[in-house]
Amino acid sequence: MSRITYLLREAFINMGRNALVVVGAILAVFVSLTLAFSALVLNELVKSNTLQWQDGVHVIVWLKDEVRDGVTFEAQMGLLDQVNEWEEVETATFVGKAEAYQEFQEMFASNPAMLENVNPAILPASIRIKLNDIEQYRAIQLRLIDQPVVKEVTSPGESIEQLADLSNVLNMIGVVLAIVQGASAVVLISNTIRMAIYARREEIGIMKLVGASNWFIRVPFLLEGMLQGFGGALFAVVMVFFARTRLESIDDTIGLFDFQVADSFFWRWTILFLLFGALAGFLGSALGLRRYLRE
Amino acid sequence: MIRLQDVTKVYEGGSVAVRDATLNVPRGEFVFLVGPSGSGKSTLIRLMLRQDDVTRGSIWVAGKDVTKMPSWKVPFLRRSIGTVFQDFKLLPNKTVAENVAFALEVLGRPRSVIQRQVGQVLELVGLDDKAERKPKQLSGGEQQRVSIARAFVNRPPIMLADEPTGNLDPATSVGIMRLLDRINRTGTTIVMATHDHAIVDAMRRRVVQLEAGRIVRDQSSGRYEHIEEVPVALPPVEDVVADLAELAEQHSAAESGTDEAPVETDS
Repeated sequence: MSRITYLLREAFINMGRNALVVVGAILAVFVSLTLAFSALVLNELVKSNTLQWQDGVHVIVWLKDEVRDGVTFEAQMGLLDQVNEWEEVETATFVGKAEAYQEFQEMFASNPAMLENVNPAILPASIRIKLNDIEQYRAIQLRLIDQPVVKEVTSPGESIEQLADLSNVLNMIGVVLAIVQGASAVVLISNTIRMAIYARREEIGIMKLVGASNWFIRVPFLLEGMLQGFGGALFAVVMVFFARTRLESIDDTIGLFDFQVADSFFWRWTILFLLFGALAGFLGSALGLRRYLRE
Repeated sequence: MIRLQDVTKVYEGGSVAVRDATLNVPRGEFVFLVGPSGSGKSTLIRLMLRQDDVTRGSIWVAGKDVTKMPSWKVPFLRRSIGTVFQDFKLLPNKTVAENVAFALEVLGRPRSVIQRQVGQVLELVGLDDKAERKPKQLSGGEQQRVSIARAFVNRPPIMLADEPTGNLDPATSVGIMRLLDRINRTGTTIVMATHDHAIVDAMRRRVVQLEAGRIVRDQSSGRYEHIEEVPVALPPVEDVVADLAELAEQHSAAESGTDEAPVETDS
């Protein structure tokens, strides 16, 4: 027990001696992990939004009209059953004229002029398809377009793809920056550890003389590195936490884009980032120790 | 207790520090390693501590072959050897008691044991009243006593001393030698490198002389300089102490109060 307090005390005393360099190392970890975490959150936001935007409707099949085109309700239902059989399709639902009108009314509730000119008869019925895998929207589109009952097939797929591309690019930049910054953080930590070892070389020499085991000498330095990495990660996580709170507070005013990040997502990555920070610190100090404490 | 067999040490760059040294130090013996600077005294001590690796030969310390020891076992070797150096090697920001306790702390001894043992050993070296001082507030002789206390606090069977009196005036040196003599009489094997003629001549212990890395003389109850003489019986310890006391008096008569004045050290 006294050993653990001794080791921790040593680590803190060490850091106090080189406060400035330690701050630098912690900031490097902080910047690196904030970038990485932000990229992750951004990615998650884009993903959840592209999915949510269409309420999970990936393909809309506008059906030919019973009155104008002579397509019977049975034929429409036939297609619905057929679509439901396809393995790419998770669910397909039929939206009749009445429901479509209801939707229309809700959508344009603030615009009575629009509503006046529309009645249920002129709105087409549709089948709304939710896919197991969004990537397949194009194949489904092509398969449906040839059906005799189908008037038109639309899909938000293209805009989803564009958004996904954008988020991929942003992610890539974020990840590259985070990696570069992370590597520099590890190097910085290894440098602070080297300085700490140098500052205490006399003490270490004496420790070796009186028979301190190598681990006894190394552990305070490893702890120091881990604390620095963990500290940086903690700041990064706190930073992202506040950014997230801020984002969620503007959620309602826009309404177009949903800034909610799931708690489970956030906390899972928080724990992973804290561990990652400690690991980076450990690696850094191991790197710093390698050269000095070799027998 | 310590055995060297054909030990050769060649440093990087080709300088030969020790050449075919063979030496056997039985338990409880007091051995002086003498010789000019660069003759290999310090190298021998470094090799026994495994601070350096031998180039050839074997060294046994406390029954273990130091030269074949895996490096993770080296700390355990060093726990059985107390070391004293010319420059004391004390930590300036720790008190006397903390410096001594440090040797036990790194071994993970419980606090109560540390406290008791530190108290005892400081009493032994006569510094129990200065336990809370910092090394800088002590004279050179007192600092060396602290370093001896640290070396001895763990009661190691072996003590290696490299020029322990090298930075001290003769009167203070006598005090240090008395202390080492007392420690030797507890059964501790002591090997001491020195070029202090007066001390070697007064103590009349075994002398191993080195020259350019070779052991050129190994004589029991010898003097610093090699004089062809009829073997002398080892004088009783009381006589040695009396000799030393006389020596101390002579010096303190010549330079009064040197023991109390802080000594500048280049540490």
